[in-house]
Amino acid sequence: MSQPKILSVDDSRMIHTLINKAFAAHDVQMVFASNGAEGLEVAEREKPDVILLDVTMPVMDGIECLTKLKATPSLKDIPVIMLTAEAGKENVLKIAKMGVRDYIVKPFVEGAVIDRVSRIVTLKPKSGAPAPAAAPAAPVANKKPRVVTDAIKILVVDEHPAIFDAIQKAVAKRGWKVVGATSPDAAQGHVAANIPAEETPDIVLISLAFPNKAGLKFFTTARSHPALKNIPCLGLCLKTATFEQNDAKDTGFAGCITKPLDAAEIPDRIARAMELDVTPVFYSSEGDIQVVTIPPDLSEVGSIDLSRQSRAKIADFVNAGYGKLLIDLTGVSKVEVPIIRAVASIVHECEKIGIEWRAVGSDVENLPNFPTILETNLKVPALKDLPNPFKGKNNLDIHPTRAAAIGSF
Amino acid sequence: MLRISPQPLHSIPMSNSKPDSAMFLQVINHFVPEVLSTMAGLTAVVGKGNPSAPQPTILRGISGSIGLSGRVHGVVYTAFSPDLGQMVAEKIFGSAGEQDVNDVVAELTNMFTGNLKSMLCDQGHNCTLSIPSVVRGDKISISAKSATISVTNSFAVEGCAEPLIVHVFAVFEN
Repeated sequence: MSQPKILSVDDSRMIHTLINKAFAAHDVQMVFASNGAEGLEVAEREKPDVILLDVTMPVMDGIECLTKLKATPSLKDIPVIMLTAEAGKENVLKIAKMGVRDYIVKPFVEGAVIDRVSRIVTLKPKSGAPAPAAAPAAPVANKKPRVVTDAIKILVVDEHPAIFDAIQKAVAKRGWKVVGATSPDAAQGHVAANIPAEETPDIVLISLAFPNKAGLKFFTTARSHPALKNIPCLGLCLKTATFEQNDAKDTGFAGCITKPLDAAEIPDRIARAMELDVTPVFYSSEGDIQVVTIPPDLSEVGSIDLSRQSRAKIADFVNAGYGKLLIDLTGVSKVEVPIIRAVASIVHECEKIGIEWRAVGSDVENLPNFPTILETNLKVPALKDLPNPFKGKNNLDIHPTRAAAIGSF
Repeated sequence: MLRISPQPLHSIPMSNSKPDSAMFLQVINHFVPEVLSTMAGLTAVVGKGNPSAPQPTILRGISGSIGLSGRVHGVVYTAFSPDLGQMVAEKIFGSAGEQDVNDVVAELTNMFTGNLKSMLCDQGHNCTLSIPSVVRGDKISISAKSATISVTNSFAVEGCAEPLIVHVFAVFEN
């Protein structure tokens, strides 16, 4: 992939300097503009992959610049992250409606900018540069590899019972156990030093809204328990709670799940924080064929992890004697980035390793043509790294039933 | 250096009533140390503060200012001594000339004010911000006759003898 190009539009040289410093260890090309009008010119000329945009600027402010970006066909698809000190709820909502991808509130830490940009483009370390700071989640040393189908115990600490209920419902499909507490004090019983290791939680999801940073203190205390020294923790907070998110990252949280909760994403976020092998959820076998089932509600996080882990999984199957793979798209009627990424990655692995593959779907009439949709969407920054296994192919035959697909091998 | 924790935001009332001087002080007491810590890695000790600061007030050194206009009108002033401005700018730029110091003063003032604006907007007092401006002088007299809010506080910044001064004037529309 070519270097991602990042445009920073801000009237402050201080911000440009800090942004430049933030990306110093990454293989990116930085371009700068000092107001909205200049930002439009640079965007038109440089066609950046991401724009970081301030609001209050001379000549043309960020709102007008954003409006013009969205009205310009050649620029409207460039993802924009607002980087501003103005974070009032009304302001955030107004700007969100204009189609920004994300929002970073000043003051900001470098990690927050890297994190948001890396959700849009793939950031690689600059060759010869020191490796970028490790992810804040403490990796579990010498741990036994765990899979998504293991019995996982989740401790949810949130003052609102509705949050507990939503998380419990979201992970029910995985069969994971959820225990809850409405305050860090009430949750102490789950992480006390006298609790046997087998009864302690595997992961903690804790609200960052408790007074006096009690959520962060709870996490630090919990990790002092020898059995919990590597326990991952995810913060629960509003998307706009940037201070709290930064504090959590600095404390060692694996990340934050923002409210309102996205039910489809919660199990995937937990799996990622715990570094679980997610493939057992998607992969199975039928006779001598390996089957990968793509759910219609595949989340972005789930898609990335499935794509990443598929290489080893397909290789394992091939080693075990399976030479055919079936991609099951039953129930999928809408094809968005997560599904495109998963299908293209799996097909690519099959082509590379030299095994036959077929696809089956229940909504064949309405499913778009994959080769065309992939060709179009490879321009989307989030898919830029994706290989195109359909190059030169006009269509992807999707069989209406499993029997038909298997019969066509 | 002893660090006093900034005022936690959850204790700031979030009603649609007009914020009083104490609330303005709470907001700057929270955000000024937060901004300095996050952007420059500097700790700041919050001073006692004055919820009814006299007018006119004299500022010295490098002063940033940003206007608020809308359902609340006002001006936020900051005053950095030359040493303090230089120290903060060098933390960010490495070496820093006069323009760099001015830029840092303007941007930090913008961050303090932007966060104050967010609090005001969340309480129903929508307003917009002006572009920051920076002036330098030994005797900068500031006043706002119609202001019903005139609060000030000083922040002792680690590594510098002279404190950072923040002064807010505001008046709410009826």
